[in-house]
Amino acid sequence: MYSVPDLRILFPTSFSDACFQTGRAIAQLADRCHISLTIVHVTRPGGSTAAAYRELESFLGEADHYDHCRRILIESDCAPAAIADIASQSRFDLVMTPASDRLGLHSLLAPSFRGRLLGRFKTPMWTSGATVPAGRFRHRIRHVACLVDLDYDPSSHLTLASAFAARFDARLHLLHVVPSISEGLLLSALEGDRPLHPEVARAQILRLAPSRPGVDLDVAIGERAGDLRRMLARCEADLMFVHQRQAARGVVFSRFARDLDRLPCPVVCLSDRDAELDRWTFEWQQRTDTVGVENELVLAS
Amino acid sequence: MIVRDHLPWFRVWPQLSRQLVLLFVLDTTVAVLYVVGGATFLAVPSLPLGMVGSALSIFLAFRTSSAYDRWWEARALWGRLVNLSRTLARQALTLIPADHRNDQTRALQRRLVLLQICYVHALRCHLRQQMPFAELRQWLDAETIAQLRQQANVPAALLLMMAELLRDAHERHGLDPIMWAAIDRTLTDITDVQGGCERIKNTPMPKQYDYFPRLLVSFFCALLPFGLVEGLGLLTPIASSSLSLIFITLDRIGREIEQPFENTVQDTPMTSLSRTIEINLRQTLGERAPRELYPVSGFLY
Repeated sequence: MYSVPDLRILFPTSFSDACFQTGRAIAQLADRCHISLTIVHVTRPGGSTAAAYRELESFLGEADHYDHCRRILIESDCAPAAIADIASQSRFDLVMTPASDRLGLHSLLAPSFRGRLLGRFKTPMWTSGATVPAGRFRHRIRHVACLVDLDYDPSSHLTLASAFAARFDARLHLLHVVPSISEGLLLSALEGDRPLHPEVARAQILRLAPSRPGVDLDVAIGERAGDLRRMLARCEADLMFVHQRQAARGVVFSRFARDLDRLPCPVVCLSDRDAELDRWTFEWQQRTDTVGVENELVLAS
Repeated sequence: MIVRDHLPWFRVWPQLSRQLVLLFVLDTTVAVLYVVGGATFLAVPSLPLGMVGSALSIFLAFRTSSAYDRWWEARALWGRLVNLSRTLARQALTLIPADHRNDQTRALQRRLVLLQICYVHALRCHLRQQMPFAELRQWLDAETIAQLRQQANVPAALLLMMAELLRDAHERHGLDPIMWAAIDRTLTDITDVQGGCERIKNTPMPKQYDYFPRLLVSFFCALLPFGLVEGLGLLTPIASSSLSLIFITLDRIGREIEQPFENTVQDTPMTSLSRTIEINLRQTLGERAPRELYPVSGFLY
């Protein structure tokens, strides 16, 4: 017996160790939501499709027990384009893209797979580095953090993060880091109108914050990378929402910020573009029970 | 569990790269200073170094053997769990008196077998620090899931449910006390298997076994170029790095297999084994079984 899915997840996989370990995070999400999981593997044309098919079937075996699990094998030379194509055909709430171990030189010269996906997707992207302790996935999501950047209007992201926290019955922690005083700060202050004083930032965020109980605000002064880790540890965040601009860096090579891979919790990166996903599926989907199990394997090209 | 004949380099390199690159830089520096810079005082006699290397090899081999014992015990425990699950299913279907006119008895037999399927999946999740409830939803009703959520040890709670079911079978369906005791003995054996797994999971190798080999390997590898440079000159980096690779790899092997329940490629293949149990038990019930799981990229999870 299963319910109509209220959280649609797309999981592109290369069968790496990191992909297998993402299973824990999916189980955590599936605990509260009736998820629809689409696992996609892209293989080069001309290879053994039967072998790839069998591997895809065996990948993350426990997903067969979830309400909806679809596995799609795609033959393509360009994996990000093929996955973006799948993403454009259906609605997804989350794309799971864990950080993989990459060879040193390659990671310097080429944009990461996540970075390339980030440029093509409007769907929120879930990611996690190797520093997230395994115990983080042992219990339900209890604390959701949202990194607020006042260089842009964060209201749509706050709404999404707040709705997510409410669905998971979690406490929402709004985090903001005010840069510490330096000569360079004067220059950046000229370019934007973000507040440089914690109290002003606090007041501005409180005006934007969703009006519901269970919302905390933490404003720190310092460097984002270091202070964020401390703030996340303080609020025991199980998941953090960030804006795409905070997640990607580099003009020539749009890379995923390495700082995010060193955080003690997974991160959901929200898109910068015209928000295609303005509401999660669970916000509008009626939960109705249906009998049966939907698991299928599809070969696309 | 790794079932492929060779490991791809891109999986091994990220774990060894940092240490090897640092050592290569040191080796090259020593060789250049000695040969080009004339710093002959850098050379140390190679004989003591050889003796230290031999002693270290014995230490590392002993440690790897201890780690393998843990890995093998974990595998043996899960092998025993496969047998005990089959035994329990057979006992449930043959020892509990089946009355063909009474659907309740058959429902009780089926529930007992399904609870055992739930148990193995819950134990796998328990050991891998993963939430089990999304998987259990297809066999258990919401009320039972809610009861299980209150429990810190879900597999143990499932065993208790099975024992209560047996008591019910005795009181209401005429299960003979001798048969009851026989099935209960199987449950006790299953409890022992779980206890063994938890012992391995919760008791790490003594930290001395982890810390000192790592320290001694690093120290020995750093000393190597000083012992080799007199005889090998500019070839020192090649010989020294190759020897370092051997010692570092030996050290890593021991460290990686010492935790067999950590959701890595070295794990006991619990997903595959729990699927095997599910297939066996569901076929015993005459129900449609899920597909078998195969290795993915040479790794069985």
